[in-house]
Amino acid sequence: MTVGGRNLLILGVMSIVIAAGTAGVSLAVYHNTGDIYLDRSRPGYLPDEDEIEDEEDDKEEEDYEFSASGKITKEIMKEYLEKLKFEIEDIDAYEDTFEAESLSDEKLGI
Amino acid sequence: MKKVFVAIVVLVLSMASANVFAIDTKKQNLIISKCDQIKEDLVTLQHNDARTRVYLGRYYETILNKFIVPLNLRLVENNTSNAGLIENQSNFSTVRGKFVEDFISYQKGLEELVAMDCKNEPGQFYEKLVTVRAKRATANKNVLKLRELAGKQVELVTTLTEKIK
Repeated sequence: MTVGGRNLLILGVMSIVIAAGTAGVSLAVYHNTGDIYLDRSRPGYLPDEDEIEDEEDDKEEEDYEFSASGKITKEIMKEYLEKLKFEIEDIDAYEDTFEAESLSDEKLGI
Repeated sequence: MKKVFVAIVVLVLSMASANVFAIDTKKQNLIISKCDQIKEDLVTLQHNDARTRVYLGRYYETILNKFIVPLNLRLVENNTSNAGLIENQSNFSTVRGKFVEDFISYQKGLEELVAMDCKNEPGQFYEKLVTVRAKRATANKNVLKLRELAGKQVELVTTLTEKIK
């Protein structure tokens, strides 16, 4: 093997080692910070078709945003309350979130 | 007498080092026999919880950034800031941060539980399950607290609206 060929081989191996090392560090940070648990783009966590449709409906509802400037009138505040209550109704659909039953002995059959 | 004392000490130390979690034999046998099914259920739960967290997180973010914060800014601009609403913003923001932190802790626990060998270590598996239950309960508390704070926002704004001429 010529000197140039050997140097090229070393460069190739070092590049692979550095890439593997940085990828490993990135994955470790991704896992240790807990971002992995908030990420739904992982395989097995991707939204199904129904969810995508629901999300599109929600986007239309989310258009409202209370302006941080302007006068405060009774009418404006009534509209604010109406929209806020609407948002809270969405939360109420998840009333039993993280309830104890799903991890109970009975549910797991033990 | 001395031998009995030594035997008791050895027994206690060996139990402590083995980290044995007291569960009855019937439960142990059920965990061993249903190990695969339990893990499958836990993975399904993990996925469902991740989906719920995304939805709730999005709603909380909307309530905070599109309702609570802009209202307080507008009240300041109009020189009518409300101490109750400012306190509610602070509380909502704090609990929302805790909601994310505690969810991560719960999911980590659930992942560790799924990775455990429930066929060979049913006692330790059950011990971990109890820990994960506690973490899930904390996550549930945060959800209830955030709902309470959202309700409080409605109450405070209703009172404020009534005072406007």
